Amino acid sequence: MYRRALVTWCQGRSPVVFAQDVCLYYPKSNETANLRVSRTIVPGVCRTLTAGTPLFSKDPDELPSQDATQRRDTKEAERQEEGKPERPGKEKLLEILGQMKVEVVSKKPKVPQEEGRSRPHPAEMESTISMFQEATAGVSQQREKLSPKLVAAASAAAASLPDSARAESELLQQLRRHEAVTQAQKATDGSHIGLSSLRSVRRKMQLGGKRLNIFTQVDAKAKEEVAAVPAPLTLSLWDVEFANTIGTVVNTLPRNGFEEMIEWTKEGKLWKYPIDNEAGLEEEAQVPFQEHIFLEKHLDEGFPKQGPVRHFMELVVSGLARNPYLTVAQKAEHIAWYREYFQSKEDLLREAGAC
Amino acid sequence: MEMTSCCSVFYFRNELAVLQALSSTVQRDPTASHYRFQDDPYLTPRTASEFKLFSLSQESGRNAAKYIINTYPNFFLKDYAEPHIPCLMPESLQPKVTEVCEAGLRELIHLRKVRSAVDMYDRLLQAGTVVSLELTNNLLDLICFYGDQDPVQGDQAEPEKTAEGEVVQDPAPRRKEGRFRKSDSLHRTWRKDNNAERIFHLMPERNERSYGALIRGMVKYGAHSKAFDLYTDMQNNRMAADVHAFNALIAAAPEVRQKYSEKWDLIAEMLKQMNKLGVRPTLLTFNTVLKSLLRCGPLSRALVLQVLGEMKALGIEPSLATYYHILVAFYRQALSPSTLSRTMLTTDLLHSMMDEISGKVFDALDPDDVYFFNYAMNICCSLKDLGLAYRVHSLLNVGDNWKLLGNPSREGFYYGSLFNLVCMMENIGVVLQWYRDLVPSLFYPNSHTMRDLLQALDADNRLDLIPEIWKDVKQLGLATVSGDLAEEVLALMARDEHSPEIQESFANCALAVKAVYGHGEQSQATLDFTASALCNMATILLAAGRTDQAWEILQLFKANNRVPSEKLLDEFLNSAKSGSNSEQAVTLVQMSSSFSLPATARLAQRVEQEFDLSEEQKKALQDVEATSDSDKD
Repeated sequence: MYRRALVTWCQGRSPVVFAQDVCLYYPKSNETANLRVSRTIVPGVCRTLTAGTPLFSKDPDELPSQDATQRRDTKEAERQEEGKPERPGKEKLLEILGQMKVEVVSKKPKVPQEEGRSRPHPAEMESTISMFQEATAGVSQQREKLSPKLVAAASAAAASLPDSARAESELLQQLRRHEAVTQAQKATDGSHIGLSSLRSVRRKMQLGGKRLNIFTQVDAKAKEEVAAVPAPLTLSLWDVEFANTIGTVVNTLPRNGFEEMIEWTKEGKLWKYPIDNEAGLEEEAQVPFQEHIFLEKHLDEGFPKQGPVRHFMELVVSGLARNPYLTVAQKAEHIAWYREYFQSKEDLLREAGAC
Repeated sequence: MEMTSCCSVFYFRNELAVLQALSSTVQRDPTASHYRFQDDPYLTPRTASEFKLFSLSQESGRNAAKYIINTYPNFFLKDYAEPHIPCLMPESLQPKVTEVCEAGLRELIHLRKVRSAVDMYDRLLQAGTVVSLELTNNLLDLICFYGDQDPVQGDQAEPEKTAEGEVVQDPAPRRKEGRFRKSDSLHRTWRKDNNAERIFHLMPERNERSYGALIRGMVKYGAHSKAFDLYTDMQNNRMAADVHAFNALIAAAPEVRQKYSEKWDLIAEMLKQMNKLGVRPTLLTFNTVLKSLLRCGPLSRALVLQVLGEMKALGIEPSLATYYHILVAFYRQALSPSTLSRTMLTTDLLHSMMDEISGKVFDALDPDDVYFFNYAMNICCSLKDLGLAYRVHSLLNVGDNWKLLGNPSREGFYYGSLFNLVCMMENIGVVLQWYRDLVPSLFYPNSHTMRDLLQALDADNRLDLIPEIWKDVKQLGLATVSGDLAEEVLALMARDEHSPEIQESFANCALAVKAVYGHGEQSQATLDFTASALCNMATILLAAGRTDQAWEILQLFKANNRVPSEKLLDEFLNSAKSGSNSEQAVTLVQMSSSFSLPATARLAQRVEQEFDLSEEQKKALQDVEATSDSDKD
């Protein structure tokens, strides 16, 4: 429990407590609430982030806060002002550098607050580097190139770390890299230093910069040709099963009634919105209404032209014409049934005199 | 006056637009259970096991209904629905065509009956009919996909028929299962005397599809080198494999080479051949490349980003599975138990990745997509980066990305790790906000999580919330899982002094905790009293001024063979003193001697000095002292 450990640890000493600007992403909204949460942070990785304090104030004579640190109250949230404004003196920069190293809060309780450079704790290399990264955002921006003394400072710092060669090159690289950053920050108001600048300071991993260069680029014409070829119409078993696998793995259970209705619509169990009461009757729509109504043509053959049978059949036809529930085929089927029936009973009808 | 007719064309993008618009207005209700349980309040799951049980039983009910409809189709023939709903009609699972002909074979293939299809094919060949190439290819697809065995059909698992013909069956419930399960596919291997190979060799002519089917089947069932041999065959016959066969070969490549560099060389070789033949790679190709790259040891880190670059150069949008593989390549050491490697890694890569994909809507295009969120959250937890965790979580809220979280157990892991991180890093107000939001509608915490929550309460001095948390613990069914939570709760409550109202609520809570111990109802698991638990309970009750109940607890020590601590006895003495109850004091000393505590003498002395004792009491005390002296000697 990091927070608890730090709270108890901090109660005894006069350590440096840093404020962290945290962008809180609340779950339901997309806006970021920039709260200043004064939290002590995990020991070992200390970010000397500051926000709101004018790190890059234009006043070159502002004293560094070394004295201020000693006066600081340990219990409240403090802001460590490590970024120092432009001081032409290189010594000041070195002091700053030294002080920044001083601020590495390691698990060991001694936090040297001496003036000038003191040896950094053998903290984990990564923490120093990261702290250094962030802190160099506060370094003066008046440097055009790396001064030899800064280089010397970097190498001295690196010497105390476990892997000195790598640390040294890292530190120097960082310094060089942050020239551009600090130059850019020169013109901006210092109070905007927040997470955004630190993100640019963070080593940005290039996602997808280099290529394998195996595949040749498809030119536009070839793309058209490819697009013109229709996709295979038949899905093989593999495709179907692949789609099934994805379906089982993904969570598609509906979260509310509307999503459930969406599922049902896709399955075909629910009418589609907006409701069209001719849904499902596409073939019926092709049949013109005349064929439903004018059914006399079915009476032309197979039935006598006159007599009770014909009369009866005309009644049947007029009834069928008014029937909206049968398809034309079903109506024709009805009439055909009657045709057969009367033809089978023909001798009976002739005997009764109705044919 | 001119009448202008304005006809407003009002159309919908598709038939789901109305419902989608409506569902976008509805948010999740954190106080309600998941939608599928909202039929009956009695059946709202309260613990994780209940959740699982209820969802499985829902699914199993659906499967049982489907099974009944399919087994007795004659009862379900009347079709009331207009328009016709095909999915509610019984499906015929038995083949209708009985004679030996191509149509029969087609039907058997459609019904996924592998053995019968092979039989039918053999009979057709014996009868001398020429089976068309396409049909043979379909048959090959079927055999290769199922590894030459019949698929296990989940809703028809071996019913045992009783005498009346009823089917006694317990359909294995599985969430959203398809009709056919290939659960055994991992255990099957490609046998040597295979029907697929046999039919393949019998075929008078084979095309790319036949080769492709066989290669894919071989790779799926573990015959990797054979797949490569077949591929060489194809090349000799100057046939071009299609993209799926290439994907399968790339997946098989790490298996047929030993050294990491050789593995990568083979993969690159395959890709180059794809390019030469003009086969365009797809998203799945690159995802397979990444997956195989993860088996190539240290090469993976360097090459994985280059593969991503290649994808982008070709205009293929990466899916979440792509990003997942990249994360694994970089962070799998961080998540391994050795702490040395942990410190070397930063969250830079994940940050850059989130920069790229924040706000995007992802479709499920690859079965590995669902691993991304859990892995990313795991990384955030290990590297203790809360802002990054929030970014990952916000990606989940974009569009339909929530579906890519996978099944409920995966969701549970994800929210569990998110909540753990929040407990560690945020102040108590935010923690409680998250707690109310997530629990129990999204996940059911385990005892580890509850302990984190208790520690967060402690760190921020909000111990007054402990009774509420204990109520939640009981409801979640975590109280009796292991004694740790109860002990922790009691210890936290007993540790410090608090204001009277809080002590009162603590006392009530302590009594509630006491109910968890001891003999509960028969069906419940109970815990045994421990000494520390009893001590803490007594301390709490004393602090709240409930001396009678505290004395009851004291009796429990003897009953459960536990020894009270001396500090506790001191406290009891103090309370007896404040109540001027010398009887109790003497009883205390006697009790302490019965436990043979070394502090007996001191306690006796204290009682003599501080209390007004009657003659019998003094005598009793002297007896006690005598016995304790004799014990010492």
